[in-house]
Amino acid sequence: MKRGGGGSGWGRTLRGVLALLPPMSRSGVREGLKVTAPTTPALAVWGVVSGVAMVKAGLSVGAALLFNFVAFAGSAQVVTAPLLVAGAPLLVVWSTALAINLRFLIFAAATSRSFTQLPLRQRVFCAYFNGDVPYSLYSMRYGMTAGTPDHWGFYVGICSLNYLTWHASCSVGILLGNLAPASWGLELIAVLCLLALLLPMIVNRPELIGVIVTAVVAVATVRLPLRLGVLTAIVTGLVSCVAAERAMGPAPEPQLATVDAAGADR
Amino acid sequence: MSTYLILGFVGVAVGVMAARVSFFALPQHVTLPESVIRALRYAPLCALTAVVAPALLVRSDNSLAFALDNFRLWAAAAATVAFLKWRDMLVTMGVGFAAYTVLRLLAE
Repeated sequence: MKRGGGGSGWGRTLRGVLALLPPMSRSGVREGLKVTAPTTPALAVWGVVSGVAMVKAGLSVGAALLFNFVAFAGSAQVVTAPLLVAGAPLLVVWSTALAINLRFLIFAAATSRSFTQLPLRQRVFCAYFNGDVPYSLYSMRYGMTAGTPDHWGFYVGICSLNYLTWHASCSVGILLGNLAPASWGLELIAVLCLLALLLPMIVNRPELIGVIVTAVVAVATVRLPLRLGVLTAIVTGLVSCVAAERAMGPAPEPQLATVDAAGADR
Repeated sequence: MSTYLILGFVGVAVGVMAARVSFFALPQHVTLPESVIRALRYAPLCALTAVVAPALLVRSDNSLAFALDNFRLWAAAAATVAFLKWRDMLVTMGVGFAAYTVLRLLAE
């Protein structure tokens, strides 16, 4: 790209980026920004905590910033940071992150009807910015309805504010975490942060059984080489959740697995 | 930065992206069976537990840490009580870390 070369390079880039955006109505975007604004303080605190957690797990400032920018993966970053620092096999790191983010698969399945009319590049672009806040705000408002420019504007409005808030706050956390003395034990923040995500998910007996089984297996298999205990525990826990649900009949109200009911994690 | 870390970051990013894009990219008539969706709801719960439990209960030498001087466990207990009472994630974390800090300072 040439600098100041008549703007043709920049113009092309700009047109390329604009082609990624779905058709949007101005009022839709405004509405999206409006409903997202109240969630930003919680999200910002969350971002700072996640940033601190990644650095305290042992990632360098540069690595943590890069990780956050590349992955945009919220809690999966906090979970995988210590695995990466410990040098766990990449397959274990990747599958653990994937397991945590499988909820996006459910979101995609639940709201894709709103996006099917769009060209593939716009659908992929929309999908990239999805997170827990867009997930809950969008499904609450529109769910399975067919999309209009109002809907897409609403979605883009939510996503843009969500994205900016996350990156600003997480970067601050990464830089702050690096300054805090080691004696404060801030690395415990990472565990508490994951615990705070975990507790609201335990809504029925199958979840409680799954947590107990997963915890027992994870602790019992901690000596397995290559951190394979993590995967063993996830698979065993998942099977026991499903088995418990089968045995007790379906839960009264199927709850989607959003990581955070308060909408704090993305 | 090592190749290992870069590969780790990129792999996590690709996995997350694949989950996000999935049904956005597939034709409309392709959907997941209800039973699979129900099973998938439990995946984040199990993944988080599999990481949290050893972090609270296992020492760095792989021995079990059920002792009273395991401040992390006390912090987690305090956080759980705070969650049950206030149902707020930031309060949960704040109480947990405050408990840990108080115990740490008392033990000094």
